[in-house]
Amino acid sequence: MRYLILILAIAFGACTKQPTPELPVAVIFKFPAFKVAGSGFLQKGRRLELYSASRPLLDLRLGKRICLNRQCISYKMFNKKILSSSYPPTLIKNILGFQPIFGGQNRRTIAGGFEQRFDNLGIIYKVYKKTLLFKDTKHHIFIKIKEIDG
Amino acid sequence: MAKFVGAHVSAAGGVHNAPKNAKNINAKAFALFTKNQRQWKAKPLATEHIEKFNEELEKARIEKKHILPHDSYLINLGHPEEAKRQKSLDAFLDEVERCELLGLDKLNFHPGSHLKKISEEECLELIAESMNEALRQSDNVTLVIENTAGQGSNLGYKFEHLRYLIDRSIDKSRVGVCLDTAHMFAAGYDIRTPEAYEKTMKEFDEIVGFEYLRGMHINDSKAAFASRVDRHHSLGEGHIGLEAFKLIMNDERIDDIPLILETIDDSIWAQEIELLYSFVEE
Repeated sequence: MRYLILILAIAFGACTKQPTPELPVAVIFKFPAFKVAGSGFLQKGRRLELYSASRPLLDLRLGKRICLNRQCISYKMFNKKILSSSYPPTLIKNILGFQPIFGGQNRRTIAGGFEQRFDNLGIIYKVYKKTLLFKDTKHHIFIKIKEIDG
Repeated sequence: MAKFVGAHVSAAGGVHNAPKNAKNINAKAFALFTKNQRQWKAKPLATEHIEKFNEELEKARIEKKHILPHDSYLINLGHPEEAKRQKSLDAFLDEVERCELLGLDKLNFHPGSHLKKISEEECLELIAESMNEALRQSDNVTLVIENTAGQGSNLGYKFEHLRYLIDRSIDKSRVGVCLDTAHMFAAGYDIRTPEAYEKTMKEFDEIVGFEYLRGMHINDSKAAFASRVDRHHSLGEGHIGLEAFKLIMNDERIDDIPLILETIDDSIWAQEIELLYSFVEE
């Protein structure tokens, strides 16, 4: 009986997905459409919730579509409305997943992470030491996410 | 009231203590270190401290534009050795980031030192490159270059040094200067009489421009005029004397920026702030 419970526990554990951890983060978003700065929680590549003075500020969910404060649109539309139509649809998901962008082009290892620079596009992207920076000077976009002590 | 006077207050125990300390001396502005200025590494700012900082700021009724954070004294953006310069740049970027997280729009720093290993021109060029990298990797923070007394191999003791760094900047909208009265005086810029004050400020305006002035450090000087020695003193106790501070408090070109005491006796900051406000003529 004891072995049966153990086997079931192992089998059940193997079938259960580990939940993506919620990381306490401080975030600055600066887009042509809006600016927001606050702290909250990030589930990398899945969800970002921000608060300011304990009040909800932003809720960004990344699924098949992207939902900003419960308004869901396609990634392509999100780029058009918020970022830039010139970006690949996967960009925001890559950024919020702390993953390389633009298929990993120009990727260079730096202390504690990596960076990608596209001087011709005015883009700098760095993921290092629990910090993420995306800056596009041409489209006036600035994203900074830093893991902080909760 | 167009003048915003305060002091470089302690943030010991957390950044949220700085506005508390500023309130205790009736300050309308303040400077702070957002981390221990004598250490390279610091713990990241905690959410709790960021929120408390904002709460205390509201209680102290001080606007963020009247806060002038100062970077660590260890940082030398013009260090002649690449590895050490990179270490300084990394620490500087961390300082910029801390300002961003606190929602502060300025970071005051000393330009750098050539350590007698490279020329002044080469050092200024390295500082400009470091500043540009910080500008590339940030967004809202203005880099506020402080003039220096010119002690040792420190650059920034001439208005021309400040101008050079502005000229080389990739984003002039995010570069400013902070004038320290004691440094200015020790570097050979006299401000003791109305005539001397006007001559120096005219020179500053022609070379740098008041549009770049983002803050001032209000200090008397223990060191003599043009001595190139950096020693602050309490107001009226040093070689500058009170007349210069009366002129500053009535100079409209210096309105709406943080005016920060870094005088040596913090127990009399409240009185010094009161004294400065008493100089304002109706």
